[in-house]
Amino acid sequence: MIDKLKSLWRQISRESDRALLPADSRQVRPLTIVVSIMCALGCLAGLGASAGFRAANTWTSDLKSAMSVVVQSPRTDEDLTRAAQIVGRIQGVTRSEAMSRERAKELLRNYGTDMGATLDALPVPRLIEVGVVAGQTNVKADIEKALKVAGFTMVVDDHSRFTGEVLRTSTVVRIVAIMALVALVVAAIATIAFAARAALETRREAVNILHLVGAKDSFVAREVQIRFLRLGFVAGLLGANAAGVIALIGSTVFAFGASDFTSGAPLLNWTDLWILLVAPLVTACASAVAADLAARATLRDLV
Amino acid sequence: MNEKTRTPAYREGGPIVRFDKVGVTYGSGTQALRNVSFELESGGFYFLTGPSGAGKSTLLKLMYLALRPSQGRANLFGVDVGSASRDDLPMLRRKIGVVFQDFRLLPHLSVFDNVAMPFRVRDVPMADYAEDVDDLLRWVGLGGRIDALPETLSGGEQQRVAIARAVVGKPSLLIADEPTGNVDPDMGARIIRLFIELHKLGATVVIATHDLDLVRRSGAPVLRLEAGELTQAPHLDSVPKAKR
Repeated sequence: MIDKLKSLWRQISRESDRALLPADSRQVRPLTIVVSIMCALGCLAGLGASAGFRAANTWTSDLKSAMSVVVQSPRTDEDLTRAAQIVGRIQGVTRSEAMSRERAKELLRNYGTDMGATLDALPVPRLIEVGVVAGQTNVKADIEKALKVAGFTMVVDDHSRFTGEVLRTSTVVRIVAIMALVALVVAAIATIAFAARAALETRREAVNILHLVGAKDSFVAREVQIRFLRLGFVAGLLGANAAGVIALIGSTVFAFGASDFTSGAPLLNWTDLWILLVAPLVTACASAVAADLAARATLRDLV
Repeated sequence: MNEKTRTPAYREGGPIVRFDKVGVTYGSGTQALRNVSFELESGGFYFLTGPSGAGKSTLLKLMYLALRPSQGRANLFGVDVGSASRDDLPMLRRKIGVVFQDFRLLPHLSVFDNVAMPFRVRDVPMADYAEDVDDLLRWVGLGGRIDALPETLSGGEQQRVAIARAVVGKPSLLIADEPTGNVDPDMGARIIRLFIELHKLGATVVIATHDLDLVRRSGAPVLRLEAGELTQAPHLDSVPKAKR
């Protein structure tokens, strides 16, 4: 097996030595770095969009599976318990729990103001925490109806306002990420096309000779294309690896510092690996296509 | 081949090159060729002479399809090269072998790969041409230098590599620009003998040269250019035919 691989490598190296258009390492190295940086940024944009999408999904799922009932009257502990029991019997409700005054005060304290004894004098909202089956419709209306019949005055908050905002924010994040990705791909293609044209210009004498011995444009373009396919793949590998490392570091830092932001959802996921795996192939293909188009356009200027 | 560009009058054994009132004007406005008309019979051996700046290189460029005429009709192998599409030109070029005055070898390729170039651009598998290339390199006396790079060769050796590249594809038309200009007289004589051998194999040969002694000794028909105009053209009846 190893011998076969060695033989294949020798063959590839020999073919590379026999490339009809001369290589130019002075051009290849900086171009590889530029394309790999673009690829890394593209991968990070893709990973960002994926993470944003996942966080938004987790948020909206959490929000959609919970409601809050603010009981305005009657407000005694017994009334609140009775209301919670009524709500708990409604179809689609998975959990119904009356919130104690102490816990409601804790919620108010979380707003950050140290009100001390003043808080005890305030009319603390009487709340029922309700868990619902996500996607179940009419639960809000059923709760309102049941409590009204039982003589309660209340407000049911199904968090739809927050859900909408989260979804809108998530959509904006995704659009921005996709636009960044498209901009990077266009920039990479333009860079490769420019480099391919420059490569042909600097090898004009060799291209002329190939033409004069009967090479078709497609043959010369293929020589350029193969070179840039290889360059794109190597740059893609470097870029994807760099993006993976950056994302891993970012995810680790994020996990320690701001896990509430994603409602506990991890910033990186194993399913995101496909972005990093596909990136070298996409970069290689984009490079090859850009080089081919640029080469053919340049060759059309010749006789 | 685009049928529209094929001249109905073309036939195998007829004129391989036919120029009719051909002119070339470069972008700067310089008129390099004016009103040039001639025919080269298939299987002929011709010399192209004239002082420097007379337009010999321009005429050769037209013949090896590095240039298209600005005026008139240039016809190669029955194809009007002025109106032929770019896609048709590679197939025509494959019928033409060119020995450039400055050799124009690719410096990063070995002697073998330089000579094999006409096969490689046609995607011929190496197994199908390796023996031909080796044989040809032995024939031109470079059998022991097939892996050498051009920069390690002498001028005469580079010349022979260029000749080998020009003839390896068995071209119907062989064009040489001052092939003896950079070599000593002995090597020059050997090169001319080589062209004569190729001519005997059936190729039409056109050699541009300043060496009037060589032209006189050969007795071959002459195209003479002066100031962009053809002042002497071969009488077709006098063209020696190749023994096929």
